[in-house]
Amino acid sequence: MTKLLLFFGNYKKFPVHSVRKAGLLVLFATISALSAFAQQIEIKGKVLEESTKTTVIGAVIKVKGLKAGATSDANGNFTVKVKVLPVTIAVSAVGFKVQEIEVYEADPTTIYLTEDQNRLSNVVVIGYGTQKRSELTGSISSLPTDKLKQAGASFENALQGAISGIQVTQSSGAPGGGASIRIRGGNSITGGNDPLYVIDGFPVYNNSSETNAGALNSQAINPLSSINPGDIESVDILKDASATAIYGSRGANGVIIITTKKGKTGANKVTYEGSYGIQTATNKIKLLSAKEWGQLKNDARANSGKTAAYTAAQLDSLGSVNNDWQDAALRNAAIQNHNLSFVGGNDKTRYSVSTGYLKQDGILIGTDFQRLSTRVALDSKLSEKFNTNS
Amino acid sequence: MKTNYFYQVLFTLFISSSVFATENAVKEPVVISGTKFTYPLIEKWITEYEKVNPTANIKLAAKANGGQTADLNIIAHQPAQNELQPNQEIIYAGRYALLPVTNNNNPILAATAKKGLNKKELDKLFFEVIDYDSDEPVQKSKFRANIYSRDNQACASTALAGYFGHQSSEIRGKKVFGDDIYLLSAIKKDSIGLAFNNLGYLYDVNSRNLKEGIALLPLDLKKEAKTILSGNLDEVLSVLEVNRVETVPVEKIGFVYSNQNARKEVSDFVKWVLTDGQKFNHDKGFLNLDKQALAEQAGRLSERFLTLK
Repeated sequence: MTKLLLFFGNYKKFPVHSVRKAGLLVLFATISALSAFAQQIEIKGKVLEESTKTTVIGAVIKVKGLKAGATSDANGNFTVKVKVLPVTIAVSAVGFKVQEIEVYEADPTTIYLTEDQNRLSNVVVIGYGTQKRSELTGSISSLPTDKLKQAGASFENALQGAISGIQVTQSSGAPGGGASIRIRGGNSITGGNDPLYVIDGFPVYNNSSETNAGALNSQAINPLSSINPGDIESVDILKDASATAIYGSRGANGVIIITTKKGKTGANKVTYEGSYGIQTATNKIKLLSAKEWGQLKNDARANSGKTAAYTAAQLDSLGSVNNDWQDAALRNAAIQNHNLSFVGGNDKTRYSVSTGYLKQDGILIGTDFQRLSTRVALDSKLSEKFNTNS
Repeated sequence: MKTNYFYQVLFTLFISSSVFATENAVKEPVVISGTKFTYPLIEKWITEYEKVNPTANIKLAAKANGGQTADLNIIAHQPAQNELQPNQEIIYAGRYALLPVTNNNNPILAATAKKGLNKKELDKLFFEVIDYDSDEPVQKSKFRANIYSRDNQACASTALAGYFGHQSSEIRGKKVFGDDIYLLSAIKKDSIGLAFNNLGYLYDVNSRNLKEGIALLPLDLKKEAKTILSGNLDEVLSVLEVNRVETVPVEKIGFVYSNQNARKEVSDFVKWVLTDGQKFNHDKGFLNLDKQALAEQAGRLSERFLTLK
């Protein structure tokens, strides 16, 4: 009102032109401010809990793709300003499921959030079936599935450092070489201390003394390295005494349960995973050449008052002979891994066909590991009560 | 002299305004409000009613502007136990059907073209029930889809969930606020978007054909109901008028009125809707009540409003 008075005010009191101009300016500024305000669309609403209809305080309302956002106040109310509609807003609060909403009209709205109970519904495989993790009292660890992807030739490499309470010591650096796994420490001096492996229900005892592999003694290779880590669905490790309850004395050193992948109902899925890498010795020892070594030997003998071991002529005859035997024994070794799998099925039949190829040239010449694996898993429901698995 | 003239004008204005005011009080309009997707039908009813009753004054109000004070509130779902006030009652005046619809580029169309989805598969697609105490893993539909639905309190959501035996909070996916028509906008943008929508919005009521950019989800239908997917509104309506189709939820539309402040103008309009008004239902993509139900509703209406005559 004051602005208008100024505009229409008493001309005699003020220099007419300046007041009119100022008035016009003020009026113009007010109008433009109003129009700027009109561009903002306010989305107002209230956030309530679905079942009890109580207000949700502190729910975060975010406008997708924009920086705009708000939180609900003590009464559950919120206001978000946007420039155009429609927008997608995501409403989240701790303990509730995130609700995404597309807003097409800026009517005051009520948003109902449903509780997210988030109970542990994960299932772990134990010796005598499966159990919910929330109900589990024994000591069981599961290998995170992403770790399996990092496994090299054998899945044991993935166990290393991934699970608490188990010690994995690589017994051989050769490709395909085994690792000694201790779950419950060393129990026996004469007997084995290795855990029992159960692969899809079949117990396999893996003796670490058979896992030697290398350039010189080409003994049996770790049988576990014959399993393609890409075929493994889950690895559960039973660490406590309950393991012995079902597997008897063989489970005294702990049990590692390996479940392989099965066919899944749904659209046919083809997966290819591959990797290629070069392995190289990280550090080679710098050594003297033959002549340098002879001179050093002579110097050492001279220091202790003895005669020289080699004459100057002998040393000269060595010339520039300089063989680096490390180079002769070591190489840059390629490692490649390819997995191709087909998974699919319907309500009655599910299949999983996978083939994998791993080739690891050891950095020491003479060591290498090659694995070509093919696996077919077929589950068929012949009737309501009759299933076949292969 | 000038001042006197001014006062005269002021006085006249005052008198005339009070006269207008009293006139307004006498001819207070009948206000109708409620579920938005029924508005095209309600509007049609009002215009047709006012043609035969030129003195009638019926107003269709947006929900936000005082749904509380409306004489008739439109409801398009079965009310929950405590939803209605003790003095409120419903007179049903029509039905509507919900059909599952998707973007016409959705790969699900090709995947389900042969057999079509049955009620169980639709249930799996649209609803998610989390039973934390159950040992059974949650069954998921094999199709990838983004479900769009109205907010949980909206009539269409409540009716849809009720038909499948769920709570509306168990409908998966994103919510769309505003009106049911925006569900179509949402699925047009999303190639794997799925939604249920009523026939009045799915079809162009003038050309009677399905709107562009959308496609009906193939359903597992019996022989006599196959024409539901034909793409023609009249064929869908004629099938649904006589058949109960398992995969197609059909729900009644009613007027909620308070029997405390019942007015004759209101009852006259509702009576007209139950008789002459029914022939406009198909025009806007809505179904009629069957004859028995109509007679029942009309009977209830005359019982209630007998005293008003």
